[in-house]
Order: sequence, then C-alpha cells, then structure tokens
Amino acid sequence: MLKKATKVLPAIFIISILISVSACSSFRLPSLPNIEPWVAPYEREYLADPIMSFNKDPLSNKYRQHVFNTREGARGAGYAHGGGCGCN
Amino acid sequence: MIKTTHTIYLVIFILSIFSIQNTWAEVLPEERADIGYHYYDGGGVEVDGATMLVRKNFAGKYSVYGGYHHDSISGASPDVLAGASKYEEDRDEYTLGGTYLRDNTLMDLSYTYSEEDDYESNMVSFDISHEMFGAMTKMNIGASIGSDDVERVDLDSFAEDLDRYSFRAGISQVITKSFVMAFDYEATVEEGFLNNPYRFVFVNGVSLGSGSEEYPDTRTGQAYSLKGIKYWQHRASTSLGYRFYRDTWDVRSSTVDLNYSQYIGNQWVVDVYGRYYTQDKADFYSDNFSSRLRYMARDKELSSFDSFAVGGRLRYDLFKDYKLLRTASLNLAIEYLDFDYDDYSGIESVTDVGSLGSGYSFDATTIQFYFSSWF
Repeated sequence: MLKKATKVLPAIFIISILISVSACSSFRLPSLPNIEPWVAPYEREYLADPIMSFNKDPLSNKYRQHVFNTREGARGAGYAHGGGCGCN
Repeated sequence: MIKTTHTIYLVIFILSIFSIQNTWAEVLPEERADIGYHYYDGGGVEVDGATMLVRKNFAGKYSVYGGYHHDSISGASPDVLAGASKYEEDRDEYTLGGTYLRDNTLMDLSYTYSEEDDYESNMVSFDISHEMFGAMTKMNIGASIGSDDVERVDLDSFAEDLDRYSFRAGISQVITKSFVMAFDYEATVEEGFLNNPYRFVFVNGVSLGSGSEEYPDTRTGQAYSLKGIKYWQHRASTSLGYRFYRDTWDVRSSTVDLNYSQYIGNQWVVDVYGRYYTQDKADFYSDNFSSRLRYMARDKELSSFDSFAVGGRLRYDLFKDYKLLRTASLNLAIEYLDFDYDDYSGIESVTDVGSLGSGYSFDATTIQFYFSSWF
C-alpha cells in the first residue's frame, strides 16, 4: 500500500506543475478545435443565479458534510474532507 | 491505482484542453463573511459551538480566506462509551487559504489544522480549476496531504500517527441555459493508525477491553459522484446527486442527495433537502467475533447500515447596500437524521451480551443558525 501511495504522489505533483505552467504562460498546444459555446452570455441569467450553485452555502454545507463524514465509512468526490473527527 | 500510462494520457488531455482560447474569464469567489452557531444532538452525543468563514479579495486576482470551527462535545456513542474515560472535550479547527486567479484558471492552496484532547490533524490542499469552451466547461484537479497524531486521554504513553493523501479530479458542464451537470472522482489513501484507540471488540460474547480493535495499516478508497442542477421558471432550482464509494476494506456505499431551493418574495429563500445513504460492512467487521482474528473491528461506521436525513433551510435577506456591506442575510437550518444498523447491537458492557448481533438505531437533530454578509 505504501508503494501505491508513493506512486500516486509523483503523479499528482507532475500534473499540478504542468497545469500551473500551462496556466501561467502563453503556452498553447495546437490540438483541439475551438468549440463554440451553445449557451450565449445573454442566456446565462439562470446559470448565474445563486440558487444554481452546488455549494451556495459553504459554511452550512461544510458543517453538514462533517456530520456525515464522521458517522459514515465513505468519503470524497465533491464532499468535504480534512480536519479531525471530534468523535473519540 | 493510477498507472503511468493513464497519468500520461491525463496530462496530454489536460494540456490539450488548456490550449483552447477562451472568450470569457474566470472570476474569484465572492467576498463574504459567515458567522454562526451549530448544534447536534443524537446517539448519546451532543455537539455545539461557533463557526465562521471569511473571504477577502485583492487586486482582482488574489483572494485570502480563513475559517474557524469549534465543537464542544459531551457524551459518547455506545461503541466508545465503555472505553473512553472522558466524556467531554473540545475540538478547534482553523483553516487558512489563498486563491490566485490567472485568466481562466483558479489556483487554491489551503491549510487546515484541527486539535482536540486526543487527536491532532494537519492537512494541506492544492486545487486548480480551469474554465474553457466559453465558460461552458470547468475542470478541476486537486490533491491533499495530511498528517494526524492520535493519542489517548487516559494513557500519556500512547501516541500513533496517521498519514492521509487524496487526489481528486472533476468536470462541471453547462448542458442548457438552465441545467448543469458535474462529475467528480476522488482517490484517498490512508496509512497508519486507523482504528479508534478506545473501542473494544467481543469474541464469543467476551469483551477484549478498551483499545482491542485491530485494523490494517492502510486503506485506499475511491469515490465517484455525478450530480445535476436545474433551474425552474418559478425562481426555483432542484439538484440531484449520486455518489458511489468503495475501498480496500470492502466497504461499499451509495449516497443520494436531493435539494430544492425556492425564492419567496424578494427577501426569502427556502431550501428543502433529503439524503439517503447505504453501506456494506468492512470485511473484518463483526459485532461478535467467533474467534480471534488478525484484524477485528466493531466500529459502527464500518458495519452495514442505512441512514436518511431530511431538512430545511430558511434564508432572510436583511438589506442591500448598507455601508460596507453589499447584502446580508440571516439563516436557520434544521435537519433530522436517522441511522439504522443491521449488524451492530450498540452493546455498552459485558452485562448486555445477550443482545449481541441484534440491530441498533438512533436519530439525531442538527440546528445551524448563522449570519452571512457579502461585501
């Protein structure tokens, strides 16, 4: 298992560095074609509404996920993580 | 877990996507401050305390945020009760982070520290999100590295370590002008002392005493979630999400989340939500082992159980544009939770062993009251 962890970490590091470099420079690969957005800016009134956010209430959501995380076996994938348990 | 070839494909894919020019720019998260109080009561445990979260932006491309959360805990759940010598404790959690905006890319670095009498947790997280295709698509990847210290309040010589790693990636896609979908993946690796130092196991009805659980030193889990959110013309939205989780301890679970939000007049927002969770037990879990095994767990979080939760949240907007504040609101959230265990009996002491193997259930209520402001 330790070997698995040590395999994951370099991959995370390399991907993060590459994305950082890509984002912070003018580096562009001539690969995919431009894809025209099919929802125009003037059609985004609904999308911009706060109630269309998956996390519109960060403080409340974080607390709620912590309540579940400390009582369930599963964790991860868009759900809050980190911190202690307060359950010993 | 992640083969080299897969990593290379992922890197090429991400770089290709970054090569596409965009006509809309990403923006920093909103500047806001939230402060509130939370309360939990259920399963023999009461937890309450203050919580706050503040975010401030600078120069149009920098953002810093800080958070504080306090838990004042009294009581203990049945599986801990017989072993824990102290039924009251406090937990303080501090978060400090910064976000940097560059064109359509947000980079976020944060540190979280949590401290309680017998547990200390440190975690560093790094996340990058990038908007593309005219802000129709948003990709994000991130990683966290954590280091925890586990202690016992009744045994000074007891000290164990736990290291945690996670890698996550996700994509959010605008489908129509009123519908968005998102997919997230997260792999977690935990290594070190993973069991609770107080819990005990039963072998043929005989308790082996506090701290008798024995877990493997490593746990690797993978979670996949798919969710969607839809806007309705009557100023409402509905979101539905599903998550599947599995790990090397053979724990498998499914989670379904449903939320409905509705504006009422100009100052009220009502949220109604529900959640269902079901899980299969770890392969070394038993309420009452028939013989001593290398690994033994009696943590109800590793048993087979179902839970559901229903709740609601009321938001009242107080004003707009008052002095330094753009707007502010008062919020009240109440949720009812029910946990129903198939193969955990909740037995606290050896005098109750006749009930081993029976089911156990408890319900709980949470209340949150908080003030939010945007500036």
